[in-house]
Amino acid sequence: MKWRLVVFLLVAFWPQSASAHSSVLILQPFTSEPQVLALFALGLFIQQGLPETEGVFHCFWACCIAGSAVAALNLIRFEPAEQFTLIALITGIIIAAGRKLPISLSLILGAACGGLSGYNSWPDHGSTGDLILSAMSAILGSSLIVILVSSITAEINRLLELIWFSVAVRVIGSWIAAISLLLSALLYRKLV
Amino acid sequence: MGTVGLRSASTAIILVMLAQAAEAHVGPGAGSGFWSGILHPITGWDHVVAMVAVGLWGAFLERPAIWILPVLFPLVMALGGAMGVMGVPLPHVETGIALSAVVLGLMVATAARLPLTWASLVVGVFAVFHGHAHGTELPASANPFAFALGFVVATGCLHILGILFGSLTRWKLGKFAVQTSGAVIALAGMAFLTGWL
Repeated sequence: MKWRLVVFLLVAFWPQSASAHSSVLILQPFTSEPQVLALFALGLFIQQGLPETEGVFHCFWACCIAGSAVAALNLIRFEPAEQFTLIALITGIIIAAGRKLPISLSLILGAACGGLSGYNSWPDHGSTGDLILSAMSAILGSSLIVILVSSITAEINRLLELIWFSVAVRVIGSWIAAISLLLSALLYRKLV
Repeated sequence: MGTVGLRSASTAIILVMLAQAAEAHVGPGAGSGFWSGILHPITGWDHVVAMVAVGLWGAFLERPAIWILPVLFPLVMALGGAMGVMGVPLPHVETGIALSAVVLGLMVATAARLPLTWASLVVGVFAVFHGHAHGTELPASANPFAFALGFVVATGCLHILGILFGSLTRWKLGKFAVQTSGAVIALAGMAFLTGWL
């Protein structure tokens, strides 16, 4: 996963030298708290199941593009906050339980998160060029969160070989699930 | 406790102290943001002693309880929190919180070794009361997400503090110190229950 991290970092920071506006768009996922939570959870989930879960990231990325295409074609219109929260809740519980999902279900999880991230990356207004650039930057930002979380945690685990590391990941999984559950209740009452 | 344990202990202490320093930035009634969420469980002694007791008891019960209880607690607490947010009434919340300190303190003081299922049930039931108390204050905060994040993290840090302190049980004197702390927690719980504190 190390080479992929290097490539992503390069691609992520390349636009900074070309245009100050385009690099800021990478931060778009951070404007949606449920999305960040879901992406963070997916990153941990991928790390927990490595190497079997490596395909989940590919699935996530492909579905990001598909999700963006759905938004671009205006096929459906909805605010995906509740869906992101649900994904974060499910993923958090799976991480906390420490159980490995069948690979098909893992791919579905990655696809759902990717599809929603891609959909949420497509802006409402702008010229075609701006829309595509914004969506691509936002997808890059989302992918960066997933790959950074999974790579960094995997690397820490590999380098330090701490016996309690897997326990720490499960504890963080329970925290993610807890925050998602509260966020779901707040969304239900339309307080967020 | 090895070097890693010592490092974790100092990190936890620094985190707790950092939160205390941040109190200056949160004025009375400013129920918003991450720091308010962090401060909510830390500034209420009834919450603090119960959370630490969960960690201490987990250390006494050893693996897998030492990590299952801190994983279970936030999940069930969030369930109680969601009930609070949605306005589902829960009678005698404050009594439940005070009782949690009494029961969990007694479990630590007597070094009770309940089966994992029963221990989880005891911790889970009390977690609902703690969560409900936090949840009812969530809607009033300006940034509920940051508040939720803050108090879940603070709760987890208090558990870790309890586990670290509880790891002293491997020594005879440490075991005595931990059991004494359990007794103090139970007494504090009694004081909360009777309204003396």
